[in-house]
Amino acid sequence: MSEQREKLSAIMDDFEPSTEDMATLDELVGDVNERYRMQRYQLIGDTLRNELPARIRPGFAADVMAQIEQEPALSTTPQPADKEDRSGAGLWSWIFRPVAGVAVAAAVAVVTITTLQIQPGAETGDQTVAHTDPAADAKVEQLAQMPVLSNNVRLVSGNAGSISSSDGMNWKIKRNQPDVQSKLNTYLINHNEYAPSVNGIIPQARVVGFDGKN
Amino acid sequence: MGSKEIDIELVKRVQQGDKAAFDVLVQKYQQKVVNLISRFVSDPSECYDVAQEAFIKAYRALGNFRGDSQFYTWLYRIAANTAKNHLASQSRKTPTYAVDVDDAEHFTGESGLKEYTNPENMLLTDEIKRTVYAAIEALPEDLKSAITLREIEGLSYEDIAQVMDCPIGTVRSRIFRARDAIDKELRPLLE
Repeated sequence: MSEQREKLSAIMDDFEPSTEDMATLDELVGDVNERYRMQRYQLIGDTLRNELPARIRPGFAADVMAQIEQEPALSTTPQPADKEDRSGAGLWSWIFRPVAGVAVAAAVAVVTITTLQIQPGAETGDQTVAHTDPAADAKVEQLAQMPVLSNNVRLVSGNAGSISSSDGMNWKIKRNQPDVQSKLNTYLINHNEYAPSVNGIIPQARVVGFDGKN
Repeated sequence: MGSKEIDIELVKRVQQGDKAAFDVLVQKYQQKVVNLISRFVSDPSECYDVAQEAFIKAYRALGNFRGDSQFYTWLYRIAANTAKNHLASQSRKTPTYAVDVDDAEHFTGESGLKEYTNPENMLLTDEIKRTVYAAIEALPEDLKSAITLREIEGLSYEDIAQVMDCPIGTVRSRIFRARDAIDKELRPLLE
């Protein structure tokens, strides 16, 4: 019994993929009491190195594993269907895969930059939106009638003299003018930029209102 | 060969569907991960919640882990990112000083959380420390030296054998006997 405990102690420090160590590892993985013992051995080292948190939560590992049990088991073993699909693909697969990847990336970029959201008062880089007046609001309302590629693009008109609305800076776009849609989308594609935010890098496009009276 | 090789083997087993192997990894790194997260999150109960989330994320991402970096480095990155995302979602202040994830493993246990901790669990932490230190002091000198050289100095069995001028097998035995003696004192606290 102590021989098994000594082997456990040893593989924590000096594990080799030998038959003996693998057998000890099998024992460790397969026996919850051995895992608790390993946890205590680990705790000894953590204490000596002053790596204990201020508060210890007993049973933390059990809580984690209870959640893991709800997760599907991982498997990196290729499935038979995958092997069949790849058989004979050879050179064509080697050429097409990067090309397909670029095409997918380009499609994603187009969809992403059509998702336009402007926060009131937000100062992301140079992105600010000019104030509008009633005439400009009318123009914006016309823009709001434009169809878009994706349901994710949702813009609603702002109030005159203010850039805020109940939904912030959003314009609603409807899908009934393909030519205008095409122009808008081309504009977005040609003028997309990126700005930092607390949530990471976000795509943006500058949209500036204008005074229709001048 | 060392403790990193056991991580590689355990990761392989998890990737092949053996969830119990992941339990071994959790048991091994839970305190370090919580310690790292405490650099970002001041509430200790939240630290454990965030740590739990980090381990779940690590499990889900383990299928893509190819061993380009060491497992614990990869795990620490996930933990640090999880903690930062937690802060962002909670709209809390950023930590008072940055933690480079490459240095995370060298952090000591001081976290300045005492004003927030649960008294009972603080007592447990203190009790564990007292028990371990008392048990170490009670050990014969050769066992004390062996376990100290291994756990605190991080020497390999070969290096310890040179320092103590004894065979590697003797080093292995001494370290085990030291752990076993301390474990006998520690076990009642955790059962």
